[in-house]
Amino acid sequence: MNSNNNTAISGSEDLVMLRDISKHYKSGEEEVRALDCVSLSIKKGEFLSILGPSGSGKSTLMNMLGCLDTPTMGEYYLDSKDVSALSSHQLAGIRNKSIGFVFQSFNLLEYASALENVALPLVYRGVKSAERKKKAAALLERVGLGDRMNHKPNQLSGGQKQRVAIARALVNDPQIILADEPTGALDSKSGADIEALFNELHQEGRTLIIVTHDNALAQRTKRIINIKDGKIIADERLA
Amino acid sequence: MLLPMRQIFQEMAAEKVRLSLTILAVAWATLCIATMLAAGEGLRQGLIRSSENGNGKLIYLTGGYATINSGNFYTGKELQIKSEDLDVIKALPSVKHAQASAIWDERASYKDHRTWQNPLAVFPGYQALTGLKIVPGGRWFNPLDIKEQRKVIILGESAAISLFNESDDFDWINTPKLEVDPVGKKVKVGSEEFTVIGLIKRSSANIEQGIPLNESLFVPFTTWKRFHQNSAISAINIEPIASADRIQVAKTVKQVIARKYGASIEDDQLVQVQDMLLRQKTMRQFLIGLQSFLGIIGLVTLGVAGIGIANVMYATVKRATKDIGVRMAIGATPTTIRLHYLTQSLFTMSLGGMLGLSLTYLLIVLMQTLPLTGNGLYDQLGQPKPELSLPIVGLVIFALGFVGILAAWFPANRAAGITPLEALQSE
Repeated sequence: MNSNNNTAISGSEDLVMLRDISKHYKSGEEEVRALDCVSLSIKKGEFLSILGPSGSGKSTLMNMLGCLDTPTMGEYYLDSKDVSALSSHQLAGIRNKSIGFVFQSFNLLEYASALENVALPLVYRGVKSAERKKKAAALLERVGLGDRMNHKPNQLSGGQKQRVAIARALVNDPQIILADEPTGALDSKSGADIEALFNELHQEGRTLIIVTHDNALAQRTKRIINIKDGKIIADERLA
Repeated sequence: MLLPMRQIFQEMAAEKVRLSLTILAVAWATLCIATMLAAGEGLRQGLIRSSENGNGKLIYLTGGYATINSGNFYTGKELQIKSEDLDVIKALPSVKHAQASAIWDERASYKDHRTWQNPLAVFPGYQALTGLKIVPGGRWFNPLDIKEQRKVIILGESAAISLFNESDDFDWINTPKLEVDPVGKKVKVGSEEFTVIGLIKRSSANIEQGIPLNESLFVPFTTWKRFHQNSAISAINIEPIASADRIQVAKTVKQVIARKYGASIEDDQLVQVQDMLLRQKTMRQFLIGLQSFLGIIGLVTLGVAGIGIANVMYATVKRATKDIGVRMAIGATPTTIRLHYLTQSLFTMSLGGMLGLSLTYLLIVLMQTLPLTGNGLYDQLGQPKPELSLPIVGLVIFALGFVGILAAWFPANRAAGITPLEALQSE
C-alpha cells in the first residue's frame, strides 16, 4: 500500500496531475468540503479505480477529472495542460477530444439509435457524416452490437446500453475513459461482460478510471485510490 | 460548427402534439400578417392606379375670393377666370400643357332620365392631358367639332347608364351594365339637343376637383362658349414640365393671374390652386401608414404565436435537461446548445410560415377570381387585388425569423447556461 495522506503524485510523465484540488459547496449555512486538498497523478495506460462510500467525494473527484466541474482551488493538469482555469467552451473541447464517459445510468439519447448515439461526439468534433457512420459502426461491431446499430435504447438490454455507451466513449479515441459505477445497474453476467471489455481496453494501453463503491470491482483494477470525506486515504497498486 | 440536425428533428418529433399546435398558430399568424399586408398593398396599388390617370398629375386652378383690397379687387370679390387666361399660363416656360374647362350649368337628360353631373366643356387636348380613352365605335372631339361649335356630347359609362338604362336605381354592390349603345343617340342639355358621339372607357380615374370620370360628360368648349358668351370658365388644368418645381409653378401661376387682373400677388385666396400630384403623395403616405398598421396587427398575432413557441421551447428544454447534460459531457459547447434550440424554433417557424404563406397564396388566388369588375366601389378604388409581392414575402420571412429567434432566445440561453453537471444530475 502506498498511502501518504492526501497526496499521490509521481513524475512528469503523468497524463493526469491534480495538485491540491479542493471543491467546497455551500449547503445552507454550512460549507461542505467535497474535496479537500487532493493531489493525485495518473500515468498513461493505467487502469485504476477510485473507491469510496457514498458521500466520500469520489463522484466529485470524477467530475473534476472529467472536466464536468471546476475546482474551488488547486490545479489540474491533463497531458501537461492546465485545465483548471479553462472556459466552458474550452472544457467542452477537452471533454470531446480527451475524455470518454461511461455512466451508471448509460445516459444515451432515447430517441436516437445506437449508431447515432455513438456518432454524436463526432458531430461536435465536426467530422463528416459518412466518416461518423463508419467509425461508429466499427465501434459497435467491436463491442458486439453490429446487429443492433439501428436499435433505439429502449430496444436494448442494460448490458447492451452500457456497451453502446462504451463505444460512444471510445469514438473520439480519448486519452482517458472515465466510468462511473459502470456495472452498478447491470446484472452479474452483463457486469462481467463489461469488466471484460474494460480489461481489453486496458490491454490496448488505454487509460481507464473507474469510480465505484464496489470493492470487488475495484480489486479487478491495477490501482485503487481510496477516498473518504473528500480526502485520499489510500493509494494502492495491485499486482 | 456542426449540429446534430437529425437529432434536433427527432427531439422535435417527441413533442408532436405541442409542435403541431404551435405550427398551426404560426401558420395562422403568417396568414394574418401576409393577408393584411397583401390587402394593404393591393389597395395602395389600386389607388395609385386610379390616381395616375385623370387629374392625377395636374395642377388645378380655379378662381377664388379676394382677401386683400388691391386695384379692382376688394375683400370678398370673386375672381372669375376667363378662357383668355389660358394663354398667359401656357406662355410660362415651366408649363407643358394647359387646358380650360367650363361647366355647362344644366344637366343632360334623355326622356325622363338625368345625369348626376353637369356637362364639362373642353378642347380636344383635354383627352391627352387626362389620359381618358374612348370605347371603340365612338370618338373624341375633333377640330371640326370645335370649329363648327357642334352640339355633340361624349358620355362616361355611368352617365350613359343613368340616361339610357330602363332602371337607374343606384347600387354600390352590383353596378348595372349599359343596356344600349349610346353612340348616335340624342340627349338634351337644357333645351338643346346633342348627339352622343362617344362613350368613355370605364376607369377609376377622377377629373377636375374629383369628379369620377365614369360620371362625367363632355361637350366641345366652343359649343359651350356659343351659349355662354361672357361666362367665366370653371378651371384651368395645368401639366408642368417634368423637371419643374411644382410648388414654384403653382406659386408663379397664382401670381401671374393675380397680376393680370390687377389684384395683389400677396393675396393667397384670390386664385385657388390644388396640386393633385402632391395630394396624391399625401394619400400614398396615408396608405403606407394604413398598410403598416395592418402589418402591425399581423405582427401582434405573430407575437402571440411566438409566445407559444417560447412556451414549447421552455417545456422542451426542461424535458431535455438531462440530454443537454449528456451532449455537454461529450463535447457540446454552450453555443452549440443555444444553436440547437434556436434551430428548433426557426424550423418550427419555417414550417408554420410555409404553411401560412401557402394558405395566403391560395386565399389570394381565390380572391382574385371573385367577379368584382363592374362593381362601383371596386372600380372607384382602382380595382384593388391583394398582392403577395416579393417584398411582402421577404418582410413576412424576416418577421418570422425575428419572432422565432426572439421566442427561442431565452429558453435557448437557459439551456446553454446549465452546467453539464447540473444537467446530468437533473431527473
